[in-house]
Order: sequence, then structure tokens, then C-alpha cells
Amino acid sequence: MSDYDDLYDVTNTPISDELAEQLLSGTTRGHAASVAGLDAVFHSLRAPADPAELRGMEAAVTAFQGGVVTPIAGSSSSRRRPMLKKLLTTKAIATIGAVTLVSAGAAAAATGTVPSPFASDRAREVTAQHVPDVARDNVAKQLDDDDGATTTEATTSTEAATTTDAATTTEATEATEATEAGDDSLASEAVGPDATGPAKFGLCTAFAAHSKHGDEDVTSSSIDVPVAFRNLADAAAAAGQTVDQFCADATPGNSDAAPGHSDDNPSATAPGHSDDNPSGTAPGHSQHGPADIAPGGSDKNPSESAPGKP
Amino acid sequence: MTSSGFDETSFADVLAAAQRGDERAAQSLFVQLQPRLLRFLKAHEPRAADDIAAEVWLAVATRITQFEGTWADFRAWFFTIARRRLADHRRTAVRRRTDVVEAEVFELRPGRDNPEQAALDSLSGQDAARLITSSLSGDQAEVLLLRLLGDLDVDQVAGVMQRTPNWVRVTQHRAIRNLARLIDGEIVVIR
Repeated sequence: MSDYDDLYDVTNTPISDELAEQLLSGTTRGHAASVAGLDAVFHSLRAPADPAELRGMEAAVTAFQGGVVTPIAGSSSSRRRPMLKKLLTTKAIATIGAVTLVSAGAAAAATGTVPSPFASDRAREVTAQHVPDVARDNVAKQLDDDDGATTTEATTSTEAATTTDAATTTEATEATEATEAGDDSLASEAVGPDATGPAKFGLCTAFAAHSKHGDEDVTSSSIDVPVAFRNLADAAAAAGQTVDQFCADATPGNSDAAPGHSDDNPSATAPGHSDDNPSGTAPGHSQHGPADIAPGGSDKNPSESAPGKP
Repeated sequence: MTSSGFDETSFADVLAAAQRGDERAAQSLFVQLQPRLLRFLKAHEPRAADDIAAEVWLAVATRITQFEGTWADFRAWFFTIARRRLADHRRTAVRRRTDVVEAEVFELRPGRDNPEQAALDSLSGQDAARLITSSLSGDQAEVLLLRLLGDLDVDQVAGVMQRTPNWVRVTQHRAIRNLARLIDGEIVVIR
């Protein structure tokens, strides 16, 4: 409040509430000369309509008769419609998204299957195929290892390939993986390496390692047995021998004619026999596992007690 | 507005007819309210007043079938809609508009040494409204305009502006005092 405002209240008697109400109601005209100017302004404000002020009557009446909606000329309501449309569109999309999420969540809760963004496509395919329990367990191991291509058995085979015949064992590894992944069609259709050919040595090496640490009868014709081992078993049967006998002349240390054999050949320390061999402590490996009662009833390394050993 | 409009009985008939879409009833309402609506709007937004008034009538026509009440209630409802449409307009236009004050507004303001009564008497309704808004703060002008143009009492103005009745009384008193000081100058001696 300025100095003038303060002086005003001193030098002028304040307008009473009663006079204020008279001014506002228009009942003071001619009775309050001191506020005649104010009274004149208020009366002007309430003056009868000027004809120019009644333009647009037809549009208003039409709106009443039509129950609305046609905009009167110059209406700016059209500016709000795009905003309303945009808002409705945004809300609709958000609503649809929310409903989808809720529905997906409800479906997942009902089925007990919650999609994981970390599961690989391969694992999802395997899950959808109702694979045999063993194969499914292998898949679970693979997922646990964060690597869908590595299992204990696969590692063993790979080690064998490294120390012997890489080209040969790679085929076995692939076949093994195909079976472990639970791809029935792939496993049944896989040809696998020819156990009577150059792959014999690698297969026998892998078989020796597998027999030591494996937990299943690799000589059976079970679908769970890697096709490479089945080929090996078939070749041995065709020769009228057991696998151990069939591999006797191919297992390192048992044949002077073994491919790549020499005194300093790493194969002298066969897979699974080296103290520092990773396969000896491979994931899932048990020191008291079925490998101790390897096929053939021997509790020794097949390569050491192989039938036909001189 | 009874001096220029409806008594409660006639208003009830007009309202019922307007709710049925009767042309004459709609015209009656328009003649009674449109001039005051335009003065109210032009006092705040002279350039957009016509557009805003059109929106107000659209809203009234849309919702009048749901209205129940007296003539005083109707005026309060009507100016509530007008005030909200005005607020909507200001909200959307504030960013893009550079609205200059028209020169005639300043010409309307009487100097303290020249309070010509004749000039004041010749003011049109819209001139008077603009004089009020150019001389007072926003709240003070709005209270006076609602009371004068809407013929609303203190409680109704409080309802429209969502304030307390006491706030309205204080504001209107200050508005009248300030306006009287400006218009009637030092001759204002009351009581």
C-alpha cells in the first residue's frame, strides 16, 4: 500500500458496506452525488443490449434446437478436438498394452510357465518338444553352465579329440550334442562317424573316456546313447567282438600301430587319466560315479583291462 | 436481473421450453444473457470474446436439460461456464499470444483532474467493463463484473470463484474503493 493509499483513508471517509451494496444493486442513482461517477460506470455496465451484441443468436438457438454440437461460427472448440483425439489415442494404446501385460501375466501364472528373457531359443525349443528326461536333464545342465553346447560328456569327448584325432572326435561331439539336446529327429537321422574307418581311433578314445566317467551303457541301442558310440558298438558287433575288444588295437597304448602314437604322444596320458586333466574334474563328474563300474564289469580303465589285451 | 429479465415463475416456463428446444425460449435466454456475457468476456479477452461466447452457448445448450434451479441459480451456472471457458482459452493461448492493450482503454481512464461526469455517462457497457478491468486487479475486477453483470450475490460469486464469501466481501469493498478513488477522485466522501 502506497503513501497515497494511507492518506486516502485519512482524508476520505471510507465507502460503507451499505453504499457499496447500493452501488452494486443500482439503487443509488441520484442519491450519492459523491460517487456519481462510479454509479454511472456501474449503470453503463448494465445497459440494455446493443444490437451488435446480439449477433450469433441464430446459431445459439440452433444449438438449443439441435441439442447441440454444431459449433457456432468462430468457435475455437475445434482446436481442442485434435488434442482430445490424441489424448484418447494415447490412452487407448496404454490401456491395450496394460491389458496385454496383465493377460500375459495371468496366463503365465495359470500355466506355470513364465517366459525368461535369458533362456536361449534352443532351450525353448527343447522344452517344447517333451524330450526324454535324460536329455532334458542335460539341457538343464547346459543352461546351468551358461553354455548350451557344453556338458560333462561333451567336454570329455572334446578332450579326447584334442589329444587324439580332432577331426574324428568333432563328429562324435556333434552327434553327442545332438542327442543331448534332445533333438530326437536329429539323433535318429544322424549317421555319425564310421567306426570301421579312420574315426575308429578317435571313437575308441572317446569311448574309453566315456566308459570311465559315463553313467550309461554306451553299447546299448538306446536313443540316449550317442550315435557315434552306437556306430562303434555296431561295428564291434559286426566283428563279433565287444567294444573293448574291438578297440583293443586302437586304444592308445595297446597298439603300436595306433595313429599318432609315440613315446611323447600326449595320448599316452589318455583323457581322464591325467591328474590335471580338466575332464577329471569336469562339472557333474563324480569320483564314485558309475564310471567305476564301467561296461564290462571292470572297475579299471577300459584301456587297461580291455579284452584281448596281450 | 429481475429488472431486465425473468421472475422466478416466468423463468421456470422459459427453462422448461428451452429444455425442449423451443426457439422463443432460447431467444429469450440469449437476449437476457448474451450482452452481459460479451461484456464480461471482452473485459478480459476482447479479441477472443466472440469465440468464447459461442463455446459457452454450446455448453449451455448441451447441458440445459440437466439443469434444475432458479433464475439466480441459472445465472450463476451460466457465468461459471463462462469463467471456465475463459480459463481454458487463456491456458491454451498464453504461449502463443502477444496481446497488446488497445489504446482506447487508456483513453477511457479519466484523469484525476478531469473526472467528467458526462464522459462517464456516455460509456457503453463494454467500455465500462474494460474500464473496470484496466483499473483494478484481476480478482477485484472479476468480483465486480460478476456481481454487476451476473447479478450474483456474495455467496454466488464465492461459489463461482471458489472462494469464501468473506473473501468476496473484502475484495469487492477494496475494488469499489479503488475505483471510486480513480473515478470520483477526492470528492469521495461517504457516510
